[in-house]
Amino acid sequence: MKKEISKTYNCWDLKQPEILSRSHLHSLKPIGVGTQLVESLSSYISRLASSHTCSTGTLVMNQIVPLIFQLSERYYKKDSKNSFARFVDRNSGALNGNGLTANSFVLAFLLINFLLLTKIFNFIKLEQYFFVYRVDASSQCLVSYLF
Amino acid sequence: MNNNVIIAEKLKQPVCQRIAYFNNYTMAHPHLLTAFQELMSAIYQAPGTSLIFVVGPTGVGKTTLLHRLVQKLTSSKLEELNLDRGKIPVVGVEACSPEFSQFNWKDFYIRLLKALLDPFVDVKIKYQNSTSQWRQAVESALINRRPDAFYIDEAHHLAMLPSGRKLKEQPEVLKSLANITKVKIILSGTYELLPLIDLGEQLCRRSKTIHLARYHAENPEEVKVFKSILQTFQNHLPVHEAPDLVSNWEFIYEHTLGCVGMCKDWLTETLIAVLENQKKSKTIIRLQDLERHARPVSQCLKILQIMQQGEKKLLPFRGELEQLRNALGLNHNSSFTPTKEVTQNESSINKKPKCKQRKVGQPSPQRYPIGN
Repeated sequence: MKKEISKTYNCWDLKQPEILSRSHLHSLKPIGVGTQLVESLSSYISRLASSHTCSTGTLVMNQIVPLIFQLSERYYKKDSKNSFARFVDRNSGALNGNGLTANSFVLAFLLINFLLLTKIFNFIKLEQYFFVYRVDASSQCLVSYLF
Repeated sequence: MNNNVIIAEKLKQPVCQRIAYFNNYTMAHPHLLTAFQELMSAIYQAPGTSLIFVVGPTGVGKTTLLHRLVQKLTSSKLEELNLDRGKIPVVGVEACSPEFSQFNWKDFYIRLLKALLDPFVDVKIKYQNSTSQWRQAVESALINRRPDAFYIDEAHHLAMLPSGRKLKEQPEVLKSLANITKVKIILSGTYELLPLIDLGEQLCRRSKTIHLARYHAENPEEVKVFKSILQTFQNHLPVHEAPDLVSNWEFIYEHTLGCVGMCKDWLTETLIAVLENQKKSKTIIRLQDLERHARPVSQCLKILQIMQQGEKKLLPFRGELEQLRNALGLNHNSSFTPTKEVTQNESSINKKPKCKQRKVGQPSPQRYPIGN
C-alpha cells in the first residue's frame, strides 16, 4: 500500500520582542506647552496623582521625595524624618520657581519615568539644559521645557 | 535549515535543552492561524466591536493564541513603544476561579492594576473600599496606558455564578469598561463562557465570537489536517526514533480528541519520561511509551461530552433563519401576522385562572381543622 505523504506546518516562534522598560508613572503631557498659559509644576503633579487615583501627598511622598533625598541629600536631609506637611510648607514656594527644588523635582520625574533615554535628553544634555535654564529662563514653569 | 539537520543538532544537546526545545515548539496549524487572523481583524478592523470572545475546548491552543497576539501587537509597534514609554502594548490577566460562587471583582481589578504597572496598588486604596474606587483606578490606568487590547484568560470563571441576573451583569461590566476606556477586551475561555455571550441586544451588537475548534474525525478534510499535524510533531521530536504517529492517528485522536494542545502535552510528557529514563545512547519513543502516559479513557469520554455540549450550542439550530425571516415579515407565504400574535397573547392572558375572591371573614377551607 502506498504511504500517504502528509504536509507539515510551520512553527511559530513565540519569543517576545524586547522593548524598553515602561514608564513608572503615567506619561501625561503638560497642558499649554509653548504658550504663556503653561501649567505649573504643582498643577502637573496634582494631575498626575489624580490620574493614578491617589492623593498628591501619596504620590509625592512615595515616589518623588525619596528620590529627591537621594539626589541631593544635603539639602533635604532634615526633612526626611518629618511629615509631608512640613516638606510642602518649606518647599512649595520653591516648587514652581526656577531654583534647586524645582530642578530636583523635574529631575526626579525624569528619573522615575525613565525619560532620560527616550526623550530629547540624555544625562549630559540635561545638565546643559539646567545650566541654560538657570541663566535664561523667565518662564514660571520648568516642565514646559521637558516635552 | 532542513528539519533533519535541526533535529540531528538537537540530539547532540543535553536532555534539558532537548525537552525545552520541544516544550517551546509551537505549530501554526490551520485552526490556530484562522483564529489568529480573525482576532487581529477584530482588534484593528472592527470599530464597533468592544468585546471579543475566544471560545474553544480545553487544550486546543487558546493561551498560545494569546501569546501570539501579545508578540504580534508588541512587535508591530516597536518604534512607537520606544518613543512613548508610557504605553503598554497589550495587557492581560487570568481570571481567578471564584471561591464561593461569587466572582471577586476587587481581586480582578487589583491584578489588572498590577499588570498595568501601577506603583500605588498597595498604598492608595484599602481593600475594604468599594469596588467602584478600584474600578475608577482601573479605568484611569487603562486610559493612560493606552493598550491596544486587554485579554482575560480563563474568562469562563466569570460565568461561574449562582444567579442568572448576576450572569447578565458580568459582560455588561466589561462592555462599559471597554466603552469608557476605548480598549478592546478579549475574553478567552472554554465553552462554559458561552452563557455570557448572548445576553442583551447591546452586547450582541458590540461583541464578536471566535471559535477555536478542535479537529473533527467526522470531517475527512480535518482528518487530513490532523494527520499533517502529527507528521509535523513527529518530525520535531528530538529523539533518534519516533513512533509512526500518522499511521496510528486514530489511537492519538482517541486520547487527544482532536486538540493539538492536548496532543503536544502528551508527547512532551512521554518525551520527558523517556529522556530521563534512557540508558542507551539512542533515544527511542515507542507506542507503548505513549500508551503508558495516555489520558484514561474515562477522562477522555467526560471531556468529549462537555466539548460536544459546547459545540452544539455554537451550531446554528435548525430553522433559525426561517424564524428570523418570519419575524421580519420577509416570508410572504407564511401565515405569520403580527395582529394574530397579539390576539393570541391577549387570549392567553385572558385564559389565566383568576383567584376566587372570598368574602371578608370567610376563612380558607384549608384552615378548617381535619379529623376528630
